[in-house]
Amino acid sequence: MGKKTLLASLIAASLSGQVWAQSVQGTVVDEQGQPVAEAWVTVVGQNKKVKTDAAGRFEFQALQGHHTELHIEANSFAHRNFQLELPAQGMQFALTPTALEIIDVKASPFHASSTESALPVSVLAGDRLKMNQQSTLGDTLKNEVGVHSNFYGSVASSPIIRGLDGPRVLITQNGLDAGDASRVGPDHSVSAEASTASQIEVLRGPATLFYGSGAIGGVVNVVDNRIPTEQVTKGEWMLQRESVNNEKLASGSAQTFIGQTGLYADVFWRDNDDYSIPGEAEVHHDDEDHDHEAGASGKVASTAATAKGFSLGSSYLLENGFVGVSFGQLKREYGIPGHSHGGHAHEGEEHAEESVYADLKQDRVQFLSELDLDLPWLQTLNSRIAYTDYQHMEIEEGLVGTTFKNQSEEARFELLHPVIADWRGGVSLHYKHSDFEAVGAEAFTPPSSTDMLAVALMEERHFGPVLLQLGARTEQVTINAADVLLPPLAAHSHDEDDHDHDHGHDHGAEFIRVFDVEHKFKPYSLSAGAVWDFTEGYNLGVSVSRSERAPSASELLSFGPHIGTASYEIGALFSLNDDPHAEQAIVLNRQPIDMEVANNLDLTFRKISGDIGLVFNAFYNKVDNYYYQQNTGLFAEDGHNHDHGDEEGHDHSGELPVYLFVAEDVILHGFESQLVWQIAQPYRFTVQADYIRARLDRGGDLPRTPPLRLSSELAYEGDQISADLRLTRYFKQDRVSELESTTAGYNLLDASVSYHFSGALQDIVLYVKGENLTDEEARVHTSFLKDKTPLPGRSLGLGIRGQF
Amino acid sequence: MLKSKLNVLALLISASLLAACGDSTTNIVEKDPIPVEDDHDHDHDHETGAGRLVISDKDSTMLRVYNLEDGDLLGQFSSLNNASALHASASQRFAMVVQRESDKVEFIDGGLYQEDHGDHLHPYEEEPRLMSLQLSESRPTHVTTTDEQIAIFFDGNAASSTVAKVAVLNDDQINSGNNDYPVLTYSTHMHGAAQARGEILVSTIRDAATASTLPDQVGIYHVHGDHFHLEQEFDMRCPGLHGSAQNADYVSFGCTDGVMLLKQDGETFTASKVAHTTDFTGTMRIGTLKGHEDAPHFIGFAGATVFSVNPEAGSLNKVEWQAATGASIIGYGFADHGEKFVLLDSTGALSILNYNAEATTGAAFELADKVQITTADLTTMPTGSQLQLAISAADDKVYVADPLSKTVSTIDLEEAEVTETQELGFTPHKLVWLGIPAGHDDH
Repeated sequence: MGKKTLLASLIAASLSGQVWAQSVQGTVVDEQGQPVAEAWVTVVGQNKKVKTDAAGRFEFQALQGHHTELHIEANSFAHRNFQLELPAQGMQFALTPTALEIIDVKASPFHASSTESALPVSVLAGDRLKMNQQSTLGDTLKNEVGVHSNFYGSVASSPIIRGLDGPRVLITQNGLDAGDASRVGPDHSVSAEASTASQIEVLRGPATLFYGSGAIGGVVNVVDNRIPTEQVTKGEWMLQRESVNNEKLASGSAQTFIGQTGLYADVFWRDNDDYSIPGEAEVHHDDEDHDHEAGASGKVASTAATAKGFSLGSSYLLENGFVGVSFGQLKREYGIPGHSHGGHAHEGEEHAEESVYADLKQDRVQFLSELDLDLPWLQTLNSRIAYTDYQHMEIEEGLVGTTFKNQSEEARFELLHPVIADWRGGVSLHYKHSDFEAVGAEAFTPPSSTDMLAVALMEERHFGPVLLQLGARTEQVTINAADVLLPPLAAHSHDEDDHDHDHGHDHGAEFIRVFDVEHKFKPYSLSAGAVWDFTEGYNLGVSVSRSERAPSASELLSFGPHIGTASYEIGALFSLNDDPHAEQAIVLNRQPIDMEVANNLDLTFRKISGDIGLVFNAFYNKVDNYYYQQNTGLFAEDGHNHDHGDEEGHDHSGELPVYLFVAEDVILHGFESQLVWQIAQPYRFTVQADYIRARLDRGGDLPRTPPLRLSSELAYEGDQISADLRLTRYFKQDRVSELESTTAGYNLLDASVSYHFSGALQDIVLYVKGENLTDEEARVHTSFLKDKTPLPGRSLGLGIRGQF
Repeated sequence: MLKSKLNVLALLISASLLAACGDSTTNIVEKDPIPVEDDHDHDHDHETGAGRLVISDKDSTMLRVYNLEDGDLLGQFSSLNNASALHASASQRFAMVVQRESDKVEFIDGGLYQEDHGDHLHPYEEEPRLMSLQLSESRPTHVTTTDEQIAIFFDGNAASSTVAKVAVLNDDQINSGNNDYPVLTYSTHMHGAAQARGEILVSTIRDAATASTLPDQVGIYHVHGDHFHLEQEFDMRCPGLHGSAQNADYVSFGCTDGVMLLKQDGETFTASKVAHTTDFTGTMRIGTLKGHEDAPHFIGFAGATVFSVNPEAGSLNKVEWQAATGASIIGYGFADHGEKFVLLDSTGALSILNYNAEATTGAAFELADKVQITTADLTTMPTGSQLQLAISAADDKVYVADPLSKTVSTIDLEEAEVTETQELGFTPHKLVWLGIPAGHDDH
């Protein structure tokens, strides 16, 4: 942003003493009055941003109006806003140090960071991102406060925010929907890569205002520089090897400019084998017979993966912003663990697990632009457009079982008005279209297209020490599915013991009913938030919101076996027939399909400055018509073409429990807290805790709710050596839903040591890291594969990365 | 300040409650339904119903698999050597291609099988294929099967001092190609007989000091991983033992002096013998026995004379089947789910006997019908050839291959007539029926 302005102001800064109309000139200093260099100073509400020079000086000219608000941020200082009258010359702006890491969120039209917004956010960036990056987004973010991984055998883990995932957590890439199939199944990988990302942002709590229906539980935004916004030349690269799964990673990105044209390229490659574990993969429940020996080898079968991708981008850097396009391609092949249809023997030597893997490919074109127009009614126009072509095939024994395709287009325009009566803000127009298709044996969802059109208004204003943020959004969501199938489900209960062969009855006259379904929803969202700087270095945040979510196509229209969740999924368009004499157990749901409504209250207390930083966040979220899968007690065939051998012990392995999407009122509440203590300069100690309770209003708990977690980390940050040691305790989870088992607690000990040095015109970091150093056998309660894929055992990683 | 802010919040909350009635509509138009293509039909009697035939070629090592639904040739495979016998596996999915003189057993997957899906048995219909599993022991001869297991008796070879062995396997092991089936290894050769009963194998014992290749004793063996342990050796002798059979409670063996019976009661086996009756003359003895899981009686052949063996009563009763003069039995077996017994004789006649499981006295098998398969002069049959019988376990059909006319005839046992004759275009040698047995409760 404002690259040209930067140059201009640096030049201007050297012209001392000159007085400019509507200008600001000043110095950023610390508590002792010493200048702070390289601090970013932003004119709030206008895309103007400069960096202070070595003497802490900066200057803006040709600003609008007679008041202005500056936002100043610098490394290891608390961000701060200053309101002033124009012109202002020779002013000193004092910052106070903080132990907290504060990075701005890119994907919000409002300024947002972990210390300044009403809605809790966190950002993983810099060295911390590089050290935490994993092959899946869920595992990359699992140590962030309030975020857990749904750990799908390390191959497709996706993040859980405050106990919510799937269609309630939106995954975006540079602010636009990732456009994959990860929201409909835990075995579908998120198509975003962490190793080439510059930062990953997590918005906890409802963010439907900016993002729409899919963000009722939160947003994870993966940011990279594929569309350059600055005239800089920089790059980074990374090579890493992990022991637990022999993962080899190579990635790199580079950015430069030719004249006013910015250029960017990145590439990555990673490859891993099945990962090792301390004990046996599968938990054996007493009521199952388990002759098969798959997984007993100390490795979790079908967890190997290989991925590669690249992105290319270019932008035109203007005086008043930028316009850019990018193309990215991602390919990934990954095993799907736990996909044994009973673990049969084949013609191999041993009882090998079936080889099932997914082959994913995504092409993505993005257009991003930010322009300061300085028109009387339009200050800034931010545009984001993406086209994504995604597909993944699930391949079993060399044959394509199911193909998932998602073709999506999305466009969002933010029209920000000039400051009016100290109110800043604007209107957001948002359009999204997705053609989703699943073809094959496990195509549990019929082809559907979803259209969303929305308009939102967002405004914020400072009232003295209080920042008030208000927003409203109205949306129209249309889901069209021309061929929704209601097959005669051969479901039956296993309770009845009369397993007599009812072959005799007449199947000849059966029909699959077909429906052309159109759902129209008009969800709206309202939110209000306030941040009160009640005393120097502290603030209090409150956010209330009411958000509506239209259920997704898969929640409504599914009808079929879904091996990723090991269940036969039936959407809310259908219901269970109460009539015991009726021929069919599942019929068309005659009840109206309601939208999900979340009423959320967030309270945040922050201590920002000083050697001890603290952020405590409590939330209470009441969700009416929460769509979730209820176990019907019925079983249905998995629809699998059983071209494998018949043998004993097959029993019901070809069958799946039938889960029906139903809407019920639920309550989620909990807290997150983070305390950072800068003990002495190189030593920092961090304690983090999060807890969530997710329960049905009528009683009972929701499944796969993260347990209470407590972690502490001691970090040393010297000039050349940095190191950290982290111990995380996951407590036992015994608040379980029907048919769910409790999960024991476990401790994970991680550590890393990095050596920083300069060489060949770049900064190089050589590092070793160890994860799960005590080789603990850990099962993840939030995982669908809890009983099949424990966490990886002890792993040592060795890596080198460079930055120029 | 805080107070005024809270008021704003309160306002917002009440506003949202007022607007809480959501706006959603659902429009559903039912279209023409799609008839279910029952690819896994539960009424199997149609698609997979009739089963398949595997027929070996007299003049080559070729084995052909035919679909009995439409007579189509589904596949052909070459065995290593000419088949001396074809047997169906326990579930009747696989054909065992016994090559006695070449010390080999190969397997062909007929492609029809079913899996237990809890509430129903799920049928599959696949292409036939030659399996990777091969058994290479000396002189595979008698093969006996139950619903679950197969016992293959390898006689061994006196000439090469190769010892006898019994391999016990099941269809899963054939399917997986695993060599992890248990083997009973003797210390001598023998033309023996074995019956597998779960973990127990009832098998014959021969005194190596005797000249005869026939055993004269029976032992109870228990499986121990890949081998068997002798648990019990019966003192009772069964001189010139030949022929064996089993049903739910008994195992029977043919001896020169009667039929030896072992009654199983849990882990305990009790031996007894049914002595020859006055119907036995000269050197007559029962040398072939046949049993059926659900049939309390055995049926035994002393040459062309047929006896019904009642183990409970300990009686032998001659079965009147009105054999033509000079007829010898060349094919036999329980049919129609154990309700009938068929005898094919060397005159080309198929005798259909009704079986009466309830019979306590007299013969349990009664001649119901005779079907003349062929009127050709069977004495012109090529050397080593004869009519061959295969019995369907799916319905009440049997099949007879005729090397002379190079045909296979379908005989409906209910109608007692040849309903169809198919040209083969080669000289059939052995044949076996494969497919999905009909469930008992279908009837």
